[in-house]
Amino acid sequence: MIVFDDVSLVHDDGRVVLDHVSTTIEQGQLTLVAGGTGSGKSTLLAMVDGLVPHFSPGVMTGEVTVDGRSTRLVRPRDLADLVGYVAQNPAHGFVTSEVESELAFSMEQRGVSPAAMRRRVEETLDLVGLADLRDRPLRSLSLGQQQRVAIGAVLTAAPQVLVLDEPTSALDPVGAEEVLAIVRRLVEDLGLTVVLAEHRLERVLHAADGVLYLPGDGSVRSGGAAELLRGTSSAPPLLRLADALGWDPAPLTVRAARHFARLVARDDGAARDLAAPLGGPREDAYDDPRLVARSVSVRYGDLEAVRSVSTELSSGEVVALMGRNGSGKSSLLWALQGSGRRDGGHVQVDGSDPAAVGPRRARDLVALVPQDVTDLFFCETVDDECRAADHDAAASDGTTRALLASMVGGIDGGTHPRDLSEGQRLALALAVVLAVPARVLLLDEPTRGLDYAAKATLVDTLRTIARGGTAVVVATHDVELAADLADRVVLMAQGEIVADGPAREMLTASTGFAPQVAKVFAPSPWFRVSDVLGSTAL
Amino acid sequence: MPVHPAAWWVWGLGVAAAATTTTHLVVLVIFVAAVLAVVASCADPTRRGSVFRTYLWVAGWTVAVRLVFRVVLPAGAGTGVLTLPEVSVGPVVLFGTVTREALIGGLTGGLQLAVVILAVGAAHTLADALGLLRHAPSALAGITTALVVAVSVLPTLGRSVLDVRQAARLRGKCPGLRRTVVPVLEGTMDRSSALAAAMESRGYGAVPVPPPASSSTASELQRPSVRPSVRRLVQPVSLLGAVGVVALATYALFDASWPGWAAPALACLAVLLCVVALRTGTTVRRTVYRAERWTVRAALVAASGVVALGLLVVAVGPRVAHPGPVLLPALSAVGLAAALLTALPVVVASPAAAVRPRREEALA
Repeated sequence: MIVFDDVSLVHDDGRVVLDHVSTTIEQGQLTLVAGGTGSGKSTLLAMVDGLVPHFSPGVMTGEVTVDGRSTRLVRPRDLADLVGYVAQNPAHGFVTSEVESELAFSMEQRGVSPAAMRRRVEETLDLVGLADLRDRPLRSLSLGQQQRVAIGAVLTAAPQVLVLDEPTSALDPVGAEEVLAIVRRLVEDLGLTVVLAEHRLERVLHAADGVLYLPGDGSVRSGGAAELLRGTSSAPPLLRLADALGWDPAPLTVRAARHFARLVARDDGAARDLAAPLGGPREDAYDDPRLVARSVSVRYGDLEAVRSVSTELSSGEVVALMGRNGSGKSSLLWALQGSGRRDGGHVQVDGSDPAAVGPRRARDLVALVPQDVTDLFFCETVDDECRAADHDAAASDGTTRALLASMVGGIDGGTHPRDLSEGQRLALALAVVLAVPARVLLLDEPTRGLDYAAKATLVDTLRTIARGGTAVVVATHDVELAADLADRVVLMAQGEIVADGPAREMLTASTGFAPQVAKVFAPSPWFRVSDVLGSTAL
Repeated sequence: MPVHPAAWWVWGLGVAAAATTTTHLVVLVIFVAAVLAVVASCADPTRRGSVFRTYLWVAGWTVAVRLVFRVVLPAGAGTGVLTLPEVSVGPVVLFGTVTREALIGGLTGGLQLAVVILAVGAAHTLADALGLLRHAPSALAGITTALVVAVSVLPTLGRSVLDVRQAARLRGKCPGLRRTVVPVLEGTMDRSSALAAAMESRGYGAVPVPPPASSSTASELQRPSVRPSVRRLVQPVSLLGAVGVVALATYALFDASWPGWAAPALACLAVLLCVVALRTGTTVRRTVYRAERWTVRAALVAASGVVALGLLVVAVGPRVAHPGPVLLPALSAVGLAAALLTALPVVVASPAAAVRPRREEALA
């Protein structure tokens, strides 16, 4: 169906993204494109739709053909009836303001007759499960619903190939499941060929027929998930377990892994004593509350985003704040920091309210890394940005640069902040807001677009910061990150805290927010790869 | 079946134009009441709250500001109603005697503007401007799609300014110009190129699917004999020309030194240019999803605005239309009828006839 014939892409600055790639993608298969950040996944996907080379700088050689049509010779707009492409942030690609008109857009552009259009929109509404939302303004939808609208909007042109760039990266686990279920249905029922890139492989690997793995050196390897990903930095928890415990063939689904897990359990007598787990909460930590919030509420018009939330954060603890999209996590973080909206309640950090002391003092009390970190940057180079941060914080020259170097090495000071990889950019944002060490550090959804290696670096960095006495809160949908990082998990729903407890207890008890290891070894309290390894090594 | 969006805009612009032709206080007050009644009875409740409230607020302020100006800067002679101590600021004298005539003049001027604001606001509340653009002739599809996208994207620009200013506070600084402008512009550029790519990959500007064989004959397709590059220029040039000619015609209407036939002649020219624009755009073929139909009710709604305007211009004499600074001037039967006619949509287009349960259900 899709043929890459000796394809290379060289950026204007001489960086080789793809180096003489030849591969094929079969019709009717769900192919997963895996690899670290900057390995060329998005470029590969854009080539299928012809957005590369038509819509991007750089020099492309070789030929990509889809169903015999060359994407170099045909413009993407004339491929719309063959290839449907959904970009990383679907909201940025919305053309109209309502669900139905968004679905109809591509047909209107092609002059499809009104009767045919109506029929096709109705079919698509059912296909992506949006019939009850058909009249809603796009802005009022949750991220998962928006993703489904974006998929539906390309489906109305009746393409044979669907290209999805990180369709679940911004979604909560349940929303991701829904989107993935629709994608699987399209493959099963309509015979669509789906090409999908994703960082959180644990979410999609079980649904994939084949994998294209991009190691980052410009090459592309094609094959089965197990043999390609085992031992690489992109391996999801199941494959890492399989590697460490010698499971063969490596299980790709939780269900297959349970079979091996029963063997492990039998080997070492099952319910091992895990009362003192690795990296668990320090008992003394809770004696030293850093931040005390009492009945904090945030309202936007009629919408109560945060309803009378009370909580305490202790020195040195790492808290994962979890919950569905739109459950009030971001609003709560901004309200705690003091620069966001707060319509009621009190926040005390070291005896003062960060909202009352002005931005200079507030950042010494509570530092916040926003969801879109690029909002923080306004300089042309990393070095300028660091200097400006030193100046803002009244810190001595070079503080921010040194902090950045301690987190991620090898960043060229002359790079534009927007040209950094996601992981480097997050590190720069952390360095900028932490130029003065704050009492409390809040991060809003930091792992979007981070590969496993960058996430491991983030975990190390945040653990180091917490050991220095700072209370750290991470709002995240990434259950694997929460398992690796957090001492405590706070679960929000509809603006309220519905559960709050030690990470192990919280993550193994909930079905929606359980990491892979917990699912495999339920009902044992293991939930990290290191738990299992530590245990079986005994 | 809701009323065609174009009908609401014809009605709204008709009322707005009618308000500019008279300074009769009673007529203006009836206009305000009529517009409010139509919005109250015909508009979607959620849009009434979110969209119309803003217009109502601006209209109220307009009247208030006009009145306050007449108190602060008194002008002309007349019956004094209030005397304030005068304050001289350079050559300008503030306060002093406030006359009844000045207050009535301020009220009429303010109400005229308020009716224009409310009528346009009502049209926008009853029929989204974006919805209207969708119904533009398909020959203008390129231009209308661009407009729709521009209008839809505009609110996100405001959002991103707020986001960036909030983020700047996280660095401990009050956001300056550079700290706001640079990230907002960079973000907007990113979003625009993402949008352009999305539109491209969804077939915007693609070669249309071939129409059924019966509807297009070979001769029709071969008709263009002009060079394509020239053809492409004809439409935008004639559209721009039409806009320019309309501006000239408006000027001719209000400038006494222009000959009387100038305005109608220019209007004819504008119509001619529009026809040229429509005829030259036939290479692009677009369809509209779930287009509203033009019904009898739509015709009545549009007519109520246009006829009211026509009556005020043609059938009402200047003594009634511009009665001078009197609170309750005499009103002819025709003038009263014209004013009341603008409330006709309450009868013909209220949702008692056009129930939209589907929409309300979805929003509940």
